[in-house]
Amino acid sequence: MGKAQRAVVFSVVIVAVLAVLLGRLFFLQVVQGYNYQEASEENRTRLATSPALRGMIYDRTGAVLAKDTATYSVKLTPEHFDPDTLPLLTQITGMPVDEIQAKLEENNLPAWEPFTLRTGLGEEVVQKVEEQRLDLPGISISIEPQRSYPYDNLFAHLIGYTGSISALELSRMESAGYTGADVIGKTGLEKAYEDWLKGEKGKQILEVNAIGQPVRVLNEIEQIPGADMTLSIDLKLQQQARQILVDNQMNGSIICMDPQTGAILAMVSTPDFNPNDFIKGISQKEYETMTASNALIPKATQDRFPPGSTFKVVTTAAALEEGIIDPETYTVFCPGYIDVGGHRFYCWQTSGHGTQNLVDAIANSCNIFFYTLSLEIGPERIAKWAQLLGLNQYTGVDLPDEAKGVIPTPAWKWEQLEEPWYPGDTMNMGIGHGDVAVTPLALATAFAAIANGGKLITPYLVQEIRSPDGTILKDTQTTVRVEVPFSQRTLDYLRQGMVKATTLGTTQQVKPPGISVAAKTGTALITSEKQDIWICAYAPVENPQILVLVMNEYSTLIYGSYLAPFAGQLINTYLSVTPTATATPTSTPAP
Amino acid sequence: MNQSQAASSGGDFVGLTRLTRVRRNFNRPLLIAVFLLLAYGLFVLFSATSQDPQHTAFFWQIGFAAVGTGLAIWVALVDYHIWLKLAYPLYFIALILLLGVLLFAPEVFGAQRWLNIGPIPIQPSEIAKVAVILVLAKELSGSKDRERPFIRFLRALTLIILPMLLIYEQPDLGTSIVVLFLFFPMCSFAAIRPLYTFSFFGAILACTPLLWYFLRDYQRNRILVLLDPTIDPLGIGYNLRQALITIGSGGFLGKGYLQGSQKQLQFLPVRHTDFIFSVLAEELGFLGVTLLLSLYAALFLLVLRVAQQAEDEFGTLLVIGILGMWVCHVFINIGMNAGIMPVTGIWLPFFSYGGASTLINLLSVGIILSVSLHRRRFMFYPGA
Repeated sequence: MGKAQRAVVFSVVIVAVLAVLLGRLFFLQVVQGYNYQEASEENRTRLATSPALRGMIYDRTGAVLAKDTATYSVKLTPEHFDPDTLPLLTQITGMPVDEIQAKLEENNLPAWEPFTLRTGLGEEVVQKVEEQRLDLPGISISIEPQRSYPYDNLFAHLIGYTGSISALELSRMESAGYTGADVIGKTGLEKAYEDWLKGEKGKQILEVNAIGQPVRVLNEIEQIPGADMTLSIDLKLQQQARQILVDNQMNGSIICMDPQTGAILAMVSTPDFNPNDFIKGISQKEYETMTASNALIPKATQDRFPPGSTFKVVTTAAALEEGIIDPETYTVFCPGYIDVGGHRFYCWQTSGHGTQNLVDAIANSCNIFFYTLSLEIGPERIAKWAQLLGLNQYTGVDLPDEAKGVIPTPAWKWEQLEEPWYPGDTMNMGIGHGDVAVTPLALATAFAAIANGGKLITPYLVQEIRSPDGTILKDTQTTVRVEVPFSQRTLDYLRQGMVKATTLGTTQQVKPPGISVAAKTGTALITSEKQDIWICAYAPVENPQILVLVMNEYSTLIYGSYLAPFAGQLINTYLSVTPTATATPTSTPAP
Repeated sequence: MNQSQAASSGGDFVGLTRLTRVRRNFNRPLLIAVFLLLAYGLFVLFSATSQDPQHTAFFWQIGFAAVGTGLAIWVALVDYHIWLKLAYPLYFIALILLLGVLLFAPEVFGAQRWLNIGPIPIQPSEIAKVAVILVLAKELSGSKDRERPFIRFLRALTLIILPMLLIYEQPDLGTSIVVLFLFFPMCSFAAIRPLYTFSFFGAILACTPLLWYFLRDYQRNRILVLLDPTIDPLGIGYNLRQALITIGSGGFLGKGYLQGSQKQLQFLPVRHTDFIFSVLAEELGFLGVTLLLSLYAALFLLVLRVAQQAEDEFGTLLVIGILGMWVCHVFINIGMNAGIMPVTGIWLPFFSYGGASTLINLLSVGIILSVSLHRRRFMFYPGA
């Protein structure tokens, strides 16, 4: 066979191959074309995701603090939506027409993806939509878990709330598999433990008809619920703590903590808000009201206040550990005032305390004693011990956006204000005034370190995390951040002073019958009539099991000691249900 | 004529300047057919990538086509006998790269086909196809063992076995079949007894049932599902059904450019590469498909004419090898789109998006143009 003949054969093969293909395509497109066109009209598949059930949150006794319940959502697919059906849609969802149109405009998903028009509807909406299914193109119903907080305001700042992911959050979290339709933890533990709580979304390949309604499920992957968390919180104590603040119309914060472990037993801040309002959706005006009253800020962890005389424990620690004074012999006479640099500084008790030794000065909270003492110590060494006690550090609590305190030094003042440091600054610092500012939780942690013999621990809220099948994923152990190098002598003097304080005046009310308590009060003048007042107490002294901090911002009460009964009630509640006999003393009882 | 004569006489044209020769002998119709295919492909690619507002793939493909055209013209102007020298070095480089893919390449869609050399990803199986064509053309046109045709045949056969196996291991069944099927026409046009060629392919066909045992599970599934689409309604059965709906619903005239409704379903992950044909069929219908197949017919017949009129056997075999590769690709790709061939990653020449395939195809065009250009027969002397 010659070359020309072979070329002819090959050209026949080529034409044949192309003819086979053309024949097949003719069959598909022309002969059967109509059938396939119909199939194409009907055939729309869509990947639908169903949100996972978020993990439950319990208190230490097993009470449910946050849970997911099934609610119904109306979804709208813009591609198939018919604006003529707006009145009918209003009737079903109860949303005004202009609100629906606003939602349509806001929507930034592709036109063929359903977006959520309204959530949190009851079961009756399902029936309404089903009945008029054919008159509502592009409208579908989905079951969605909705977060609810059975105790309303009680855990507003601790647990926080969930909400739809924002564009900014999405840009950060998209790589972790989030989409614009997701709900995420916005604040509090919901935010901090998002990765544990969220679970795995379910996926469905749906076949939908020409008006966007699902006709069948082609393939399905079930959702996996998020992990459940048990908090160290004691519900009863938490309720009582909030009640104290609310009943007495106090803005402030209460923290109850196990000073040995760092487990937070109760932590409230007022004013607060109802996180369930955020789940339902709040108006801009409501939001502004909350912002104006600072209700959204957890005072315990995200705000800082002058600690007042509670800071005197730091000044005392610095004086003893730095060897400034001999506590056996050192005394100061308090005539009710002291003159330094041409200024007269007064004691809170203007009639004077007379001659004060260290223990008396702590118990009486004598300002003249601590003014004199701080001038001898100097600001740097006071700051050193404030830092060792973590007062200008993050506590590392498992909550988002924690703030940290400020401990001024001459260098700090120059940097911030470009002003020299005066002896008066040192005196103010020594009694927790001036620029000293701490978060209530950091102060509570510092007192816990005194109570437990020098361990600066990390406070925590989440005790345990369990997967839906019950496997324990995380069991929080106590973390000691710093072993504060306290000598036993320093701890003894601090304890003696704080125990003696509970024998005097109104502070006596911090002691429930039969329980020994150590306490220090604080009063930081803000204006001539208003002050931030504090009490920090722990009990039993021999073997501290609970530490209570009460702080009242802009108080009309005059002294921190007025808070003593509240701290006493909380100590009593906790210790009357928790037997004290089981634990062994970790430190020498105060004399 | 033997190779050395061909090589020495290839570039020697008495009385004509090189430029005049290029002007008179340049195969313009062939280049025009290629440009029409490229333009048509870009037109459809724009629609296939319409969900990407930047049309990234579309603009990349314009770049590939432009670079490839430059490459084609450069290769066309070089006497194709240079490939006699380059054939074996390229062949061994291709083998090393194929080995490299198996050892080092990352997996994409369950197969390893790409190798990163510096920042540039290359696809060794594409290089291997051309390298095999070059060595086969050299061996089958050479003078060695002319008197022992069976030994010649076996030598050629051994040249394709190794690359085929390496490509099959990637696994890329489609490409290894292409390598096998360009061997067939090349043997037919070489001085190999038809008896050997046909009995070899007869044996291959007879062994097809045995081949079943060497296939991987997913490859078997792709074949089974052609016979019975209901066996895997959620997996490839679903994809196949969607592909048929996409093509079938195009009808005679199509749904209109950019109007394809099946596109948004996104059931085909490689819409702009291996399944670009379904986008064409849906939007431009049977008419658009007929236009494409006509362009291929024109191109293939023009190429076949170049093979027929080539200066020597080496030239003929080069062109026939490339033509065999293209015909094979067109049949496998359109066949899988239309549900008569199993799904494999085989591009449509000048149509699918892809840097490696576009450059290799235009390089091949350059080789064909070179064969067409560097010949004495059918020289046209005006006024002579």
